Amino acid sequence: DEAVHLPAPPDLSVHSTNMKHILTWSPVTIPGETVNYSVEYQGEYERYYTSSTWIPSSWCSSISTPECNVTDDITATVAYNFRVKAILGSQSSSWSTLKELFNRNSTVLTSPRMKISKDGYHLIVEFEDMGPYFEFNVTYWKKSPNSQKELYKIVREGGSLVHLETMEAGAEYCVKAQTIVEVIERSSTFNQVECIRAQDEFPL
Amino acid sequence: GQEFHFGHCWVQRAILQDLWRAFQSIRSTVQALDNNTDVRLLRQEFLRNASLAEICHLNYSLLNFYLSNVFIKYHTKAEELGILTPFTTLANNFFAILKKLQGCKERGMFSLSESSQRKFQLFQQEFTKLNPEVRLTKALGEVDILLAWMEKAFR
Amino acid sequence: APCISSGLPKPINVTFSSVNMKNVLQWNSPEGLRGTDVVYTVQYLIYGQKRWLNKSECRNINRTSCDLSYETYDHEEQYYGRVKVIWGKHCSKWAETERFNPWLETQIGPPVVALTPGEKSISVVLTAPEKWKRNAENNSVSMHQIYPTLKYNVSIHNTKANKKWYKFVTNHTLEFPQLESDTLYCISVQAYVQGPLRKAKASDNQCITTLKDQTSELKVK
Repeated sequence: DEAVHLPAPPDLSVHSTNMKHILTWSPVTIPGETVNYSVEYQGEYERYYTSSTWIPSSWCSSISTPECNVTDDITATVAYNFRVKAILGSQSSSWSTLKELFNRNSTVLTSPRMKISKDGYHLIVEFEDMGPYFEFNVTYWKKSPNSQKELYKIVREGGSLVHLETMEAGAEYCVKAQTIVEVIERSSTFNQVECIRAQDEFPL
Repeated sequence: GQEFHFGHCWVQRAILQDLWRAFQSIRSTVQALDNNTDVRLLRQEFLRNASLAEICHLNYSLLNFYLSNVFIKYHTKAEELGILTPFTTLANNFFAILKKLQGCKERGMFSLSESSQRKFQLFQQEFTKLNPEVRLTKALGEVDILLAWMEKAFR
Repeated sequence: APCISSGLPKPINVTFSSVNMKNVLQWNSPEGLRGTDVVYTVQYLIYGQKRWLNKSECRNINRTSCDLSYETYDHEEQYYGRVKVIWGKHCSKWAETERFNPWLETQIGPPVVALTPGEKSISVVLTAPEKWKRNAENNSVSMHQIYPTLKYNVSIHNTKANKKWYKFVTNHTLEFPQLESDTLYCISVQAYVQGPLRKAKASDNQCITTLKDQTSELKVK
């Protein structure tokens, strides 16, 4: 049968939030057929040192959905390029590539989800586990009419309850936090301030 | 943040996270291919009594050497061994560090010390004595030594 | 007389097991020779040096481990170990370890943890784990000296409220003030080093009860 014209997948772009990077494109549709796609990438090393070799993506060598999680491919803070081709049986389209190279230092950093709690007089904070790149800069203070001395602590990882401060009986403490991603030298905005009151003197 | 210190230049310490993770996943494969166990390229005495600046300058020279002489020639072999993804992680992170340091060097922020140059030449002599494929495998198998030296340069 | 290298099967799973730089070569006897009275001989090599070296205390032994801590003491060197089976006049080929990097691979043991309860507090004194010593008289080398970024992850479990939380510390003494009196708390500590992923063993849970509240005692009397 006559070979179908297979266009290169259009609209290639990377959407990146909190160091999770998703490559998307518009699907190539051929009535009655399932079109697959193959993704490859290259970093600055490949462009400068190896006359632009391309590397098969870790997870998207032959997929049918028009998106690919390329987080495991982007593992350096350099500019990456991606290319995608459509595959139908033995036929392949030409490659389409990114209009603009992608560097992970442009990822969108959202403020962290945080839970504060107490164990008696002890102020405890817990963050969601956002992966190995994330630390949390926690700023906290005791609410008082006259002064508000801010203290801060770096919490190395999410997913566990971490002691922040030993509170004074009956005092109210407030906490806010931002994520820090050292490998791209950036941090998120602070999240919503949350406050909690320490218990009064131990009941006799 | 925590950085490692190359003369007056700073590189984010966190970059070592990606480097170690990548190397840990290729270490067994690459080191098992190195049968010349009687030769060590990155020798301990290079660091003995070396100042922090010397360690940094030696690391800079080695990073440059690895990009232009090791990674570039080992690409096909890495593909054959099925270690291309971690291999390109190492190469691109070396590139990122070097790019940052290149900027510092061009701005005259650090100059290569004579003694680190001499040690680097010793390394090069030892490297060129070996046959081509052996030396590439050995150099790649010793990246843990280079990363440990970079850890020492961390401030 | 040297043994005859015949078709005897080699030892299997030859690896280094390392905690605080106590580096022990261990292996399993080959499938076909289990239960027979075979013996083993061990050698080691310092990566970058020419000759394999004998370990005299591990020549013709019947156990399946050999402590090479003394020979692999310099943790900035890297090493190989190898072992072969000897059965009568016959012996197997050598079975080798992968390249062993003590600095990278040793498991960091837990610190020594000393707890002192107060009425509403617990004082914790940590003693950093020590590198394996060549002999008892030698000065101790703390693992802290080898890994300057060594920190401690202290977990404390309030058994009454059933709440457990963590505290990251760098110094060796800390106090948990403002606790509940007459309450059982369990504490465990794990060393943590930034850099390559390293195994680290947490200390056993140590439980201690805070003292009774003296003021309430007096009021009751």
